[in-house]
Amino acid sequence: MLIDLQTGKPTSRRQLLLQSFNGLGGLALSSLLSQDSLASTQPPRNSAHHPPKAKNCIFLFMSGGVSQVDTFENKPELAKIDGQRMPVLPGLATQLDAYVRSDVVAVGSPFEFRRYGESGREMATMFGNLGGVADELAFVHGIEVDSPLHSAATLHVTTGSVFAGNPSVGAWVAYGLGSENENLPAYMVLHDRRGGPVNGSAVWQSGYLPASYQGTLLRSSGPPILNLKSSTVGSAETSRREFDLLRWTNEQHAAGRNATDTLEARIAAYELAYRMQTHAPGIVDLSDEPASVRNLYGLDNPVTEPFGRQCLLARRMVERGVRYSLLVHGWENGVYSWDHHKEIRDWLPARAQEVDLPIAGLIQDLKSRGLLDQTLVVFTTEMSRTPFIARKAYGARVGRDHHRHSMVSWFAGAGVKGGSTVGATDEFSLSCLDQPIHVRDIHATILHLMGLESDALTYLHEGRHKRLTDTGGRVLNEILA
Amino acid sequence: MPAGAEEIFRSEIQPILNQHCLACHGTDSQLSGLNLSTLEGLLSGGARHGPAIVPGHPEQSVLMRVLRGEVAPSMPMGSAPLPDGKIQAIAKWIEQFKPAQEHADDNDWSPFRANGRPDPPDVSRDSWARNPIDRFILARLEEQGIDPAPEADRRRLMRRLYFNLVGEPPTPEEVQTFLADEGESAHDRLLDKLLGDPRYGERWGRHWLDVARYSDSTGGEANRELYHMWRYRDYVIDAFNSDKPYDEFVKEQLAADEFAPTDPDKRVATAFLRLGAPPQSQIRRVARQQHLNEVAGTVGSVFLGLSLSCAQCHDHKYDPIPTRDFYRFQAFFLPIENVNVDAEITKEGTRELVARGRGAAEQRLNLAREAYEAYENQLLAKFRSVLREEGGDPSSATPATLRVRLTDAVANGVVPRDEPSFSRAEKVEYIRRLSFVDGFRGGRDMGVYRRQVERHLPKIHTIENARESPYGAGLPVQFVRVRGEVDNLGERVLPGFPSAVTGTDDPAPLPLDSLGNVNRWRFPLATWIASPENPLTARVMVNRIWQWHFGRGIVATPSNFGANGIRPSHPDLLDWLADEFVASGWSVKAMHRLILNSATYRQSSIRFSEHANEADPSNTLLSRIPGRRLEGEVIRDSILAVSRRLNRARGGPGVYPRLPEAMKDQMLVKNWPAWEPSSGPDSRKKSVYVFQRRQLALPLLEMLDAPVPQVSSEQRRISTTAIQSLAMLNGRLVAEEAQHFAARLEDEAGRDPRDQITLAFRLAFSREPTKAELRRYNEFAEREGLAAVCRVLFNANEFVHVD
Repeated sequence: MLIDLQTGKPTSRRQLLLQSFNGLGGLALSSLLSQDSLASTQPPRNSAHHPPKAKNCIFLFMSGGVSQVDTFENKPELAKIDGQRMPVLPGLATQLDAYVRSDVVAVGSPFEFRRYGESGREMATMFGNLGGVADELAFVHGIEVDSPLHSAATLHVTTGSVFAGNPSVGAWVAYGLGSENENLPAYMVLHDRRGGPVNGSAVWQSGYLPASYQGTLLRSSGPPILNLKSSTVGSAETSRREFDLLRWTNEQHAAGRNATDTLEARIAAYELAYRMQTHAPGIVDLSDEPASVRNLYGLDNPVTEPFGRQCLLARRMVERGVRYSLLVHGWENGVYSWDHHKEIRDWLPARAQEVDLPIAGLIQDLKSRGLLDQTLVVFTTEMSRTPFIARKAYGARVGRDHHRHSMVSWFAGAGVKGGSTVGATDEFSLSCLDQPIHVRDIHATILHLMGLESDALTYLHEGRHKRLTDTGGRVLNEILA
Repeated sequence: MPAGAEEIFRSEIQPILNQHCLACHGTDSQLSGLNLSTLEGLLSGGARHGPAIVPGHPEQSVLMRVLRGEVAPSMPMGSAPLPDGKIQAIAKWIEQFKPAQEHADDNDWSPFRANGRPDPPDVSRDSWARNPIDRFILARLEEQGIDPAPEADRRRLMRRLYFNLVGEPPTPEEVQTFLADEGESAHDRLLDKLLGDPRYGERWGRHWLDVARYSDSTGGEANRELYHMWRYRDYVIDAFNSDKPYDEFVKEQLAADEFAPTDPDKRVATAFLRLGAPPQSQIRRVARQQHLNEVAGTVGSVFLGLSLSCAQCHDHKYDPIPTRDFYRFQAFFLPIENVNVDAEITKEGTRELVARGRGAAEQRLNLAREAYEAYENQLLAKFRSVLREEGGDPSSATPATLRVRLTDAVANGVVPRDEPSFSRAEKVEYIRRLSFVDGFRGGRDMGVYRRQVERHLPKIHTIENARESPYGAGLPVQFVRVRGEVDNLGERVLPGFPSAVTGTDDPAPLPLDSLGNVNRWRFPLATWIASPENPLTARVMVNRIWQWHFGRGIVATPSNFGANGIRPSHPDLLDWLADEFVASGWSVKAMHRLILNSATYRQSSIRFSEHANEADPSNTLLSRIPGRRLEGEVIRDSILAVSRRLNRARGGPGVYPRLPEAMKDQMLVKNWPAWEPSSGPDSRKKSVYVFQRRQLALPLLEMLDAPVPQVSSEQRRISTTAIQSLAMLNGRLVAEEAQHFAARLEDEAGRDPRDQITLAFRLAFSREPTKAELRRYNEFAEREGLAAVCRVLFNANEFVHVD
């Protein structure tokens, strides 16, 4: 006999499965599958280690490497040596990568900076809309990434390791917490309409965690989820009859095999699939959003519309209990990304314009609905850029190369102390001053706010207890409320 | 342990732990690595505090201290403390508890030491055993008072064998033939047939490809295609089909370039060493070191079951592997360099298939080239007139100058150049037709066709030893890298075997040429690994074979036999099998016969005994055969086999089944088609032949837990998700093949719907429909049509699940 943990009453295995299915993201099935497969003997906890501050997380990933000194980190000293040789800072040579050569020319930011909000947060004016919510944001400066290459750095920021094959942050969260919605996955992904990020699905995959925790790609037009709609089954009635026959067939089959849990799990998965067919299309149907809300996200402007739609969908997913939404902006690392080796004066503001209003709108909207108290918003990219000129850039086509010692990210929302800052870099934004902050600290902080401890959230894989943050990870208490 | 202490654990202690602790510290969640569901789990303990109990000493036991709140956090976390009575019961039990002596041998068992050939134990139900395997299994079951399950019925057993050995269901004719043959030797005949079937190599080769991290592209940002890697895939399939002795299989993959450099069929095996994901550094010496780390680590885990990589930065925390040994082991690989060499295709069938493919690709290329040149000539003509107008030299208009004129290279691509003579549309079209991936420039289509030609050239990816050190003049020298840091050189070391196995850290003797230079680096390593004396190699492989049959290895972490892996459930059986494996001449098929002829394997999958369920809930002792969902590849192949559309052509370059329309953005990498959908029968070859591109998997296979081929994968996960259900219900493969399945039924069963449904059940489930099934399916077919019936059958648990 099985006891329902919530009511204390006996329950059927099927009921339990359905209740614990938690969307296909966080299904607690594997615990019930364990008899048959070692691989699935580690189910999600579906409960936090400590009371969470944030129930949901929206992770905004700007693909390509946002130039920190042109956006969120004003360096007046750099402007002073614009066009001159970069001075050699003591002790830096050993820390820096191949990109750093001795004969490089400093480039001051060509962009105007301003102070915003009561906190006096300094930002480039191209992020003027975001400036309007500056007091909600908590900045992290001088973040160390393990690689200056797009592919590796992107994996590092999204999965905690520069090598592919590891679970993404959202997969860990889904594994740790499960979903709140019975009809939707716990972890959804929306990428740039122009194309996916470097590494493709490795950015949202479940690595060595079961496939049930991987991010589900949500498409902003057409059927929102792959295979959601049948190409052959016409009516809902037909579909129901088909499900009914299938369930009957599977029940007959299970009955003769004294009902092993894998079989039951699969029956339950089909019932969820059926419900998803009904519920999932509603997420992407924005017709119920009033014009005021649509405009808040910039849906009325072709420049801001694509990312605005991603942001609005993210809010709708929060409302529906999706734990973790990954929003990617920027396609591969070509001209439509944040990878500005050249012509940064034109291309960087073009990218910023696409996201500035939508992100500001998202934060305002979440706040006005009381959702910002339970939702963590994280904005990041995969690396920083050099304060000096890129190798291939010249004259007016100035740009910056990859750098990995001074990335800037910000947090907002649940449990975050708005207007605060942690970490700092030297006067040229070459490397972190004082205590280094590492990508794993960002991850530890996200997990912490969501009620999970990074050192306790483990998964046994090939004899090792693997963690998102591997052997470290400091919660950045300085920016927590 | 005093008699009864284990029973007390089961009867009194386990229920307490079950109720209060297992939600977080059970087999399933193992928070902090702690698993309190078994005695072993209590003794091995968790990551934070070590063993949960100190036998005989409740006051020193962490379990007691957290229960009493003496150590934070007090347990159960977030709930009220346990009632005093329960705490005292646990304390009393710990006090009485003495470590088990019965399995002293098991506790002593070490992967690093050979144990010889244990005698199969005596068992009371002697008659149950069909061969020695069964005695080892039965002995453990009898200790626990568990009865083995009865033999599976012949139909189910047959279906199990088919999926297991050839990855497809039997045809109705094969079912009939087997069931009609009731003699004791029918089973043997079936085994002979299936082990001789070329589909066997396709099925079992796939297992090895998981381990070998097989992929047709490099991964990483460039994600370049490895044009000839399919030759390695075919090599693996052939090796299983021909039952290549495993010791040779090992040696060829590690060192064939050193001992058979001119034999393409052996040399192709060294591609194994090239399958690692690319290094993630731009600094050459760092990238080189990362590459060597990957190679050494993978060789260690795949062939020796040792997590050598753990010793890359620090001495291994659990196994006797010092950092020094990692770099000594790695030193065998110091001079390796990736090279592609000409190597003719010797295999009949494949040779012709590839020649045809090459001819077709060359033809397409020529047509594309002509079309591109015509296009380019038009542009050049315009360019000449532009130059004339500008007063320049028209004869300077060449394809190269045209490109300079129209495009600008930016760091990660090409953009139209800002110049007035050509329209933006012209420049965009020009750039569209150029390609900048995989080293092929020219018209974009042309690039694709050149790529297709390249795949069909008789070449292989292999390695060779650099004539000089890749680091400069002189022979390569190996240093320990302190803390794994590339530039932090420690002691200089020479190539050598892990001291944990050999008991010495003397250098390994490397053969020298007449000038005194090392001429074989990896051959000595390969010979040492593939030696009967090596205590690890045979055990690791028989354990993998066991896992691929039963779903779980005797050592359940097959690439990690170390202290941090899971201890063997049947150490004596493992040793006996390893000895048998070597004695059989390292024959994998001999192992199959042994295992598949055992009474153990022939058991039913149904759980018959409640006692077994309680005493061995995870079925570690094998009192039945675990039923399993099939792998994605097997499911796809079975759908195609049943719909009669499977293309059984074997070997050759990878094929590209169509991807969903919704994935079209993922099919382009930097505007370059990363996926070239095959049409017609090519797209319906067996799944093992699907082009395996890193970062772009066939969605159906990905959803069904296909491994991420970046790293060696020791075991398939099995997950169940609604996304899988949607893919099976609504995805294109099932939708299309259901139509063809229906057409087949009409074709072969005639017009009577009942006959059609009967045949459908025979094909899909290898059985007759029941009366109730016939009635319900018939009703459904009348309303929704036969294809809908077929779709339901493809989705049924019975189709994707094997007993």
